Amino acid sequence: MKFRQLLLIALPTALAGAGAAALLVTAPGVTLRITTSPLALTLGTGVALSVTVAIVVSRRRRARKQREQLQQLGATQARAEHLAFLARLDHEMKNPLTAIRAALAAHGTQGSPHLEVAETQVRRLGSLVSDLRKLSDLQSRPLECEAVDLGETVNDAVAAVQTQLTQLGSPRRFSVQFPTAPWRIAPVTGDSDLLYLAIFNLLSNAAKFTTADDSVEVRAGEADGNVWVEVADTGVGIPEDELPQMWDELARATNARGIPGTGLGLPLVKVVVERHGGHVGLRSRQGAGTAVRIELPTSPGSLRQR
Amino acid sequence: MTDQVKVLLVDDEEAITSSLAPYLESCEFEVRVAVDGIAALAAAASWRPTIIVCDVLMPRLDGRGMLRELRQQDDWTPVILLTTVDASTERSAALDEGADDYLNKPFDPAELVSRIRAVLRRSVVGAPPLSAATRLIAGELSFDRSSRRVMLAGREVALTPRALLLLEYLMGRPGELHSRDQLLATLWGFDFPASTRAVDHRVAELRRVLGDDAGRPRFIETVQSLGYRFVAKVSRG
Repeated sequence: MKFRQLLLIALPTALAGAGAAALLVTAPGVTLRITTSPLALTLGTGVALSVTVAIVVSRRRRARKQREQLQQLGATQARAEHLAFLARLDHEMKNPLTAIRAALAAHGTQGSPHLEVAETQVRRLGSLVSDLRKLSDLQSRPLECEAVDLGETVNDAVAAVQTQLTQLGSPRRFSVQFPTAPWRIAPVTGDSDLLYLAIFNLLSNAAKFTTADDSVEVRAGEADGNVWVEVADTGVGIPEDELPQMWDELARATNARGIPGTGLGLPLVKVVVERHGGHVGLRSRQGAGTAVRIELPTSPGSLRQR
Repeated sequence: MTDQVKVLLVDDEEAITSSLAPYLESCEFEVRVAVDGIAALAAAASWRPTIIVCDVLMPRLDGRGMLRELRQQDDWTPVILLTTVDASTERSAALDEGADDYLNKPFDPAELVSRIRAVLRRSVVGAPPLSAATRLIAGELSFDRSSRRVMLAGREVALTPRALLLLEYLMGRPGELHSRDQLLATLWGFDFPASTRAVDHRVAELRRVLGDDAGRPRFIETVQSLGYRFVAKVSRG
């Protein structure tokens, strides 16, 4: 399309120019009389050219936007289908699991190592199913929005994680750097309970993959109407080829096998952040550490209410 | 045998009723099974159970329909719904419809037994529970449940939806101790570890708005490391 339009202008102009030049060279005696003034001619060509360019550019932009929208729609659809699948899985599994638990309880498991294994495992399966359900529930639950001071959220979450770690006898060094100059970080509009949950998960993840000798840094900043919060640690890190899957449900890095966890922490963070119209990012190097960053818009415009 | 607790267990899944019924019997309950809402209504009328434990998704008449029908007949037999109530709107709907409690599947059977006992402790035979009253009054605080407005000393106060839900729940169950985890699971629908801060925040909001002093509470008492309790006497309006 655009090429053809360009050619419509460029080709006649070039042809006329070339013809005139050829005439001038082959027949020097011929006088070329151009009735339109050169100024008007240049101006006209210029205007025609710029209009064409403008049309071409805007069409190209529109096409790209359409392509992006289609891609986004595809991603949203895929996500919705995935969540519908999780809901079905939950629905199909909850009755059998309830029945197994009731049967084991009715029979009694004490004294039978086999039945005790069965009970522990059905319990585990049950909590897995309910975790998956919570994840799909987070995707659709109504957000209760207010102005949230992320500095306060981070401080509360650090205190909660530190309390847990101290109880386990393995506290970490957390350093929190929230800029206060030239001004404090702007509040974000969001659901304070869910944002707390996301930040708590980032911190407890960082704690999980570090030892008492490591350090965990929490920093934040503001750019282009977004507030970002990053939790960085000097822990075990994630193998490079596994990085892209880390946001998927149940994904666990191969070097995390010995560390308890469900593989639902990061997906939960992603769901919460994306519902607030934000983005997540992950940098990691095996043996060096990991930094997870969340970015949230300060204006409420991009909230995904369902 | 007359004061034995009679549990009507309603579920269309035979695998559940055939395992859960013997378990409940082993916990000294007398148990009967109904396979759907219609059968449950019939059994409720003829057998007069002490409490009904009821699944939600069932053929013919589901758990919610059964519950509505029961309450319309002015039958206030306590009901525990076995359901996965996901969105918080549905959750408050379940509470509004007059369920006394509910439990998500899959659940720990022992947890069901302790819920049954807790519900029976607070219910008065034949009388609608406070949690079903349209207006709750505690001193100068009143909660109009149909318009969802709260008045303090004659003036309306503004509360966030979750604080409203929490106040409604606590006022409907005065004198009972509610753990943070239980409040979270029931009212927020998520019980992630360490997310109980959400409950503390809403209690703080309620205290601020209602002018309640945590040290000498008129309304909501903090029970150290256990949870919260609504301490004022509540009557129906």
